[in-house]
Amino acid sequence: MLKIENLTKKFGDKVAVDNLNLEVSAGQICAFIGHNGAGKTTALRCISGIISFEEGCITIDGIDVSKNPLEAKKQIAYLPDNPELYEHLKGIDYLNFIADIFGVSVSDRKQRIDEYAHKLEIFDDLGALISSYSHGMKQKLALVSALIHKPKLLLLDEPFVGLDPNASHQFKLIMQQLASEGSAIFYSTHVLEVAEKICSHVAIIKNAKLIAHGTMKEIKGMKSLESIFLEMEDETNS
Amino acid sequence: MKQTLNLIKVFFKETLMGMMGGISKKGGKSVLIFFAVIFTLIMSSLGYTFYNMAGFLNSMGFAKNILLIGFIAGLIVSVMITLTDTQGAVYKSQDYEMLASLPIRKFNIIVAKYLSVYLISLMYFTAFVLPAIVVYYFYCGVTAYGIIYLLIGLLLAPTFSQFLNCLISWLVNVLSSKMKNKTIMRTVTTLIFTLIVAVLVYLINSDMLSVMFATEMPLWFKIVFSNVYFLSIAVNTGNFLWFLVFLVLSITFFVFGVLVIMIGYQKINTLLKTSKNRKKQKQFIFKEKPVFSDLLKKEFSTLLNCTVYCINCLMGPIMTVVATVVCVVLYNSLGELPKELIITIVTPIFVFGCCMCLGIAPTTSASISMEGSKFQNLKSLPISFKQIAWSKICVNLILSLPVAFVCGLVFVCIVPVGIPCAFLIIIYQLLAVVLYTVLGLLLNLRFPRLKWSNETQAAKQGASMLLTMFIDMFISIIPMVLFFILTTNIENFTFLPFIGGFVGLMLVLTIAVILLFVFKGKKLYEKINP
Repeated sequence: MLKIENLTKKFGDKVAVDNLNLEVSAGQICAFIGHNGAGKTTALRCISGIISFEEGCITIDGIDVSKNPLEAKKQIAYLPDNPELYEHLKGIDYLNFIADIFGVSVSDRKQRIDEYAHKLEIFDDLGALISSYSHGMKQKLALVSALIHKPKLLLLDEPFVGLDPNASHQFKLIMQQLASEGSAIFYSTHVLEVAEKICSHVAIIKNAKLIAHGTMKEIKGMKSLESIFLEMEDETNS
Repeated sequence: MKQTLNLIKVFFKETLMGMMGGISKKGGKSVLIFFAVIFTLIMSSLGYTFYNMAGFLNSMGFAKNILLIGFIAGLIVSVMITLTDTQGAVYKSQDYEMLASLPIRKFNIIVAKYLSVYLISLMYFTAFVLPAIVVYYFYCGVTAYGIIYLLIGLLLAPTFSQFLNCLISWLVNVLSSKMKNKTIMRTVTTLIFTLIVAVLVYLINSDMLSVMFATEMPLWFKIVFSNVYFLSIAVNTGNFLWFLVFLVLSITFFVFGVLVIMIGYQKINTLLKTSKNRKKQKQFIFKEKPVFSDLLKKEFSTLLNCTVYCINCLMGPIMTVVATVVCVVLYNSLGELPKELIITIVTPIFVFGCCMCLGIAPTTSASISMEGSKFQNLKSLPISFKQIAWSKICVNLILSLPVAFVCGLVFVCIVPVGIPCAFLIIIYQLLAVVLYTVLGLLLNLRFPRLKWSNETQAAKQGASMLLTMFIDMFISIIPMVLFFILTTNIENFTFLPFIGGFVGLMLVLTIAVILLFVFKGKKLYEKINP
């Protein structure tokens, strides 16, 4: 579903992502972990077509992000690390706006909004202006908007930040359900315990370079993901 | 004191760096030079206008009044242009909670914010007053005290306009913080106050003749423009006592400005940030709509809910209406002069004055910046650049094209300029709107300011907005001055061939900017890193 080949992104002289090679297939949930400033968000932004990149190739379901950005974007949903939404719209208007962009039919959007907004306990507040929402509510709305068109690839930047325990639990279930239905999920996180529980695959990035990628079992073996991550950090430091 | 100075340093840096926002170090130099050249040309044109005006006044023994005219023009412009800057910086700014949580006195925060807005006010004020001061020295002579008084006067006189801005900001936010739909009401009340100021400006302008040819200033003038009035007496007589009065008045305006903002600063901000209990809703309407109409709705909701952005962009159409009324009234009030002469005077003032107003702040020159950090969401969605650009362009066209057309039509119906000239005037106004709309978006794509702590920074203090404004002033003032130079030097020179030539020029310029947008716009959009 997602194929990244030799991706390099520079900001001036600084290399933010260095020769990244990665694949996430349909049905996989892949955690993208690394320290702050390692290049996770930059990589996600390159995949979602927000920023251009110097070298490499990214394809989503066979569609080249650089050559056919609009078609590629139709396959994905991107959730940024901070849920900045159009505050002057009502929650429901925002969801309709996103549904219109992705060409979701009335019946589909009605059914999906009903399902996901109820699961994340935001449905009753959809009639209010987004400016009146708390951070967590904005995050929930952003999640519903990301799910409204049943994306083939879900790109999430720290999706659990700001969610209450119930919404967090529900979203984990939704992620698993989507993966079982054939969607691929690639998400950055610092919560290694959750990643360990729900992800089939893991990718570790350090100083712009991918230092490990594989199934969760392959990477962590009998140890915890946290200890493996810390060991790898130490190894590359020394 | 140290705290205030540190904050001032931070805010000044934020303001100045923001104005250069999006300009790389490499390209920064050339853009700065461009800024400086346009600024100098605008000041030179104003200087030339003041010079001619002073020559006329000098022949009747009133040359010294040019100083007052320059100061009043500067004050009016700085009031109108920075009317919403104070409220944007002080109320509902994103850094309010962060600053409130720090161990900094409220007074220090307000003074530092006040002075950062003052810097902008001073920039516009200087553009008008400096040429008037030079012309004044030319006709009335240079004295040591004159230089010192006017330099200090230049720095302190805008405290009056800043006080007015503080007062209006406070009133607007006190009223709107208690209302139900705070955000919309904030825009509406600001609009009402802006209209009141516009009417006052009109009334002041209509009585300017009595100021220009007065040995003793009218009472209203002494009261309204008290600090400037005493400064002019001090400069004309060299009397330090009057200068002292000016200093006391200016400092009083500064103190009152800060004090007004201090009243209920925390309470107002808290109320503005608090929203009423959300209504629980169980039923929603689901309807498929074209993406373009969604985008247009999004653009209009941003415009209406961001007070500073809205008022700043509406200022152009409002001032166009005011300029039209002023020109029509001027045409009727100069009835004693030969009709052809009146038309020759009033028509270029209308055409280029309105052109300047229409392009002073197109919505497009800040529409990308207003997206802020939401821009990355927009970029991640499968929406074509064409649709995004069109939705942004349409907002300004919807706001400005009808105003340009109606004002042009009203003017040509009242002032008998002849059918060919009337046709060209309306075409020129419409072309100006299209030009500034596309130019604004092109510049905002090149110099977006996506990181800001209050909407004033995005809506008014971005490089794109300032460049659009300066280019607009340049395109409007230069032809007006050129026309008056030609009419004084060429016998029987009429407006028709002049406007004909400028319509042609405007058409070429508009096509060139549209083509540049078509070929470069998408690349610039893709290059933006949110």
